[in-house]
Amino acid sequence: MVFTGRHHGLTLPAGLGDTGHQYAHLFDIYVPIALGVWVAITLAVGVALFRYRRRPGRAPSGRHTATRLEASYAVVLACTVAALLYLTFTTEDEVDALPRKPGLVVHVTGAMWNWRFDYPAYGISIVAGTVRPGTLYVPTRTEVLLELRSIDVVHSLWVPATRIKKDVFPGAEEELGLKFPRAGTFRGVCAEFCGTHHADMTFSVRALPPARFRQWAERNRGLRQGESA
Amino acid sequence: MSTIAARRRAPSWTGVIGATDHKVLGRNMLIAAFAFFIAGGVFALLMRLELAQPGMQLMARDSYDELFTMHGSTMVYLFVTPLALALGVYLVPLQIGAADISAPRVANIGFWLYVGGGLTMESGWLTDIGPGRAGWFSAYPLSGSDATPGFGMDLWVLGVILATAGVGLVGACLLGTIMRRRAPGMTMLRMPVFTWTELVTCLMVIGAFPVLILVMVLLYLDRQGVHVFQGFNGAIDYQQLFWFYGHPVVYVMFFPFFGAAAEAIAVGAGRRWFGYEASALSLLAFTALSMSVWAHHMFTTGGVHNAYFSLTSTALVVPAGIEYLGMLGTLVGGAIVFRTSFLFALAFFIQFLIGGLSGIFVASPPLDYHAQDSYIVVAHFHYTLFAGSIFGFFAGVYHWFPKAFGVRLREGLGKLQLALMVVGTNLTFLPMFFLGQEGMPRRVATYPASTGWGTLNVLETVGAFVIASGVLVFVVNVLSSLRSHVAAGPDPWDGHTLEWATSSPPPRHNFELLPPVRSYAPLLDLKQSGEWPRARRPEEALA
Repeated sequence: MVFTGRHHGLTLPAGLGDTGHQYAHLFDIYVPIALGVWVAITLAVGVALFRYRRRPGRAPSGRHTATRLEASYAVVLACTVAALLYLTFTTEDEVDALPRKPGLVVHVTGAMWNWRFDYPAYGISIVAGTVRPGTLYVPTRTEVLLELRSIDVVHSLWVPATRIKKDVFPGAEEELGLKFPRAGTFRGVCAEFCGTHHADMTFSVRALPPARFRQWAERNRGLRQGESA
Repeated sequence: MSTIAARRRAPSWTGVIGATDHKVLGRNMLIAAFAFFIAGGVFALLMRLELAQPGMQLMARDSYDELFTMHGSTMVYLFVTPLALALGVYLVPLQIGAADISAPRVANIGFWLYVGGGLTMESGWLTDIGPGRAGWFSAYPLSGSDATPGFGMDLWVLGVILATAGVGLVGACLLGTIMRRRAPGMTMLRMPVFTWTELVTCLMVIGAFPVLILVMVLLYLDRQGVHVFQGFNGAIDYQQLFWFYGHPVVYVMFFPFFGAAAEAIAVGAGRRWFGYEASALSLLAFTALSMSVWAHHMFTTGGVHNAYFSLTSTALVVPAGIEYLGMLGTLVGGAIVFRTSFLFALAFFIQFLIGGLSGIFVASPPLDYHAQDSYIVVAHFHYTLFAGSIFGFFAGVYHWFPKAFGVRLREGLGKLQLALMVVGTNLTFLPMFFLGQEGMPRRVATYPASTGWGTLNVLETVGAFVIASGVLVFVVNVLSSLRSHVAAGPDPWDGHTLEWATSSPPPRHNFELLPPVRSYAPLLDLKQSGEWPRARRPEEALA
C-alpha cells in the first residue's frame, strides 16, 4: 500500500527506527485526512455541477451569504488546525530529542562534494562522495549521535530510510540522533543543493549488529580515509 | 469589418514605450511575462529530457544547474509575479470604474525596469561561465563569489533587483489606484472579488519586495568582497531575509489567479460570489499570516523556532477553507454554463487543492524533515503554482480576452487546451510525490539506475511535453481568434462587474457612462432590476 507512512516502495525500506515510526504515525493521520478532504470537495463540486447545470426555466438562486454556516465552518477548520498542531507538536518533541547517552558519536563533515565520518572513539575516518564511494558504519539498536558541520556551503544529510534530514552549516554544529533497529544497507544523500556534483555527494549506511560493529571498529582502529578490506 | 477596434488601433512605437494607458501597460506586461513563460518552459523541457533516464545524457552538470536556476528564477521573478500584477493593471481600473491607473508614468517605468531586469538576468547565458546557477533562492554561501564565481551570477543578482523593483513600483501604483480612484459608490466592500485579491497582493508586494531588494543588494556587495554574511548566522540571516520575501511572494503568485477563477466561476454559474464578506476577510487574514510563515522553509536548519512557524502555516487552513466554501456556495444554486473559462477555473480549484493539502503536510516539521528538499516539495509547489495559478490565469484569459481584444477565443480549441494541460500537468507532477517519498532529492541532474526511478521520471517527461502541446494550442487559438471578424460586444458572458459595462476594448478613459454601484456585482444588480439589458449569452444566441 503506497499511501501509508510505512510503505515499502520501489527500493526504499519502511521507515526505520524512532524517526521512521514517528513519521509514519503522523503520515498515517495527515495523508488520509488530506485524501478524504480532496475526494469530498471534488465529489461535492461534481454533484453541484450536475445538479445546478443550466436548465430552461430555472433561474439562479439569489442567496449569496449564510453567516452562520460560514462561522461554524470556520470553527470546524480551526478545531482541525488545533488537532493537527497538537499531533505535530507532541511528535516533534520526540523527533527533536537527542539521545542523552549515545552509544556512538560520529563527527560528520560536509564539503563540496564529500562527507567525512570521524569516529573519535576509534580514530577512524571515512570519506564518501565524489573522491570515492564510502560507507558510514553504525551499530543496530543503538542511539547514534551525528555531530554535523560543513567547511564550505550548506549541505543536508539525509538517509531517506530514517525519514529525517538535517542541514549542515559552516560555522556551527548541528546534531542529529538516529537509531537503526535492524541490520542492512541504506542510501544516504546530500539534500541541499551545493553545486556541480551535488547529485554525487552520496554515501551508504551499513547497520551492523553491535558485536559485529565493535569487531569492525577494533579491526579498523586508526583507519584514515579507507574501508575495511 | 472595422467593428473590431483592436485591429483599428495601429500601435505607434512611442505609444508602446511611453504607455500611460493602463490597458496598454497591462497588455505590454502580459506579453512580456508570456515571453518569459515560454523561455522558462523551454528550460523545464530541457531539464525533463535530462531527467528522463538515470545518468547524464544531454548536458554537463553545470548546465543542468543553470537550467533549474533559470527555470525557477524566470518563472517566479519574470513570469508569475509580473503576470499577477499585469492582470490587475489591466482589469482593476475597469472593475472599480476608474479612468486610469494612479501614477501611470511610474508604473510604466516599473514595467521597463522589470523587462530590463529580466533581460539582465537572461543575458547571463551569453557570459563565458554561464548564468546564475545557485537556485532561485541562491542560498548563501553557495551564492557567494567563492562557490559561484562569474559575471553571470552577478547579472542574476542585478536582474532580480531590477525586476523586483520594477514589479514593486507597478504594485504601488495599483495599490494607489485601488485606494484613491474608486468610482462613486464603489466602497471597499463593493469591490469585486478579483479587485480584492489584487489589493491584498499589492499589500504583500509593498511589505515583502523591499526586503528582497535589500538582501540582493547585500549579496551583491558580498560578492564584490564586502563581507556581509559570515558564518552560521550569516547563512541563516540570508535565509531569514530571503524567505521573508519568499513566502509572501508565493501568495502574490496565487491570489490574483484565485480572483480570476472566482470571477469565472461566478459568471459561469450566473450568480454572484457566495460569502463575499467572509472571503474578503479571509484574504486579509491570509495576507497577515503570509508575513509570518516564512521560516517554514527552514525547519531543517535548526536555526528557527519551528513550532511557531508550523502554527502560523497550518493556520492558513482556515482562510483557505473559507475561499473553497465560497466556490462551492457559488456553484450551489447556480445555472451553470460550461465555458472554457469556467472549466479552467474548476481545474484551478480542484488541482490547487492538492497543492494546498500537501502544504498542510509540509507545514508539520516532523513530516517536513523527510519532505524538505525532496521531490515532495517540488510536487507541492508545482501543484500550487502551475496546476493552480496558471490554470487560474487561463480562466482569466478566456474570461477577459474578449474585453481586451474585442473577440472571443475559440471554445473548441480552449477545451482541447484544457484537456491537454490537465493530463500533462498531473502526469508531470503527481509522480513527483512518490519519487520524493522514495528519497529523490530535488536539484539533482541524475540518479542511480538502481533506484528504479526511471519509469516515473520518463512519465513526467512525457507529461511536460503534453503541457507544452497545450500551450501551443493556446498560442494557435490566440492567433486564429484575433483574425476573427465576429465582434464579442461589450458583455459577451452576461457579466456582473463594471468592466462589462463598457465597450470591448474599452475607450481610452474606460467609460462613456458609469452605472450606479450598489454592491460587489453592480452590473448584475442593474440586470436583475431591469435597468440594464441582460446580455444574450453566446450559447443562447446560437440556439
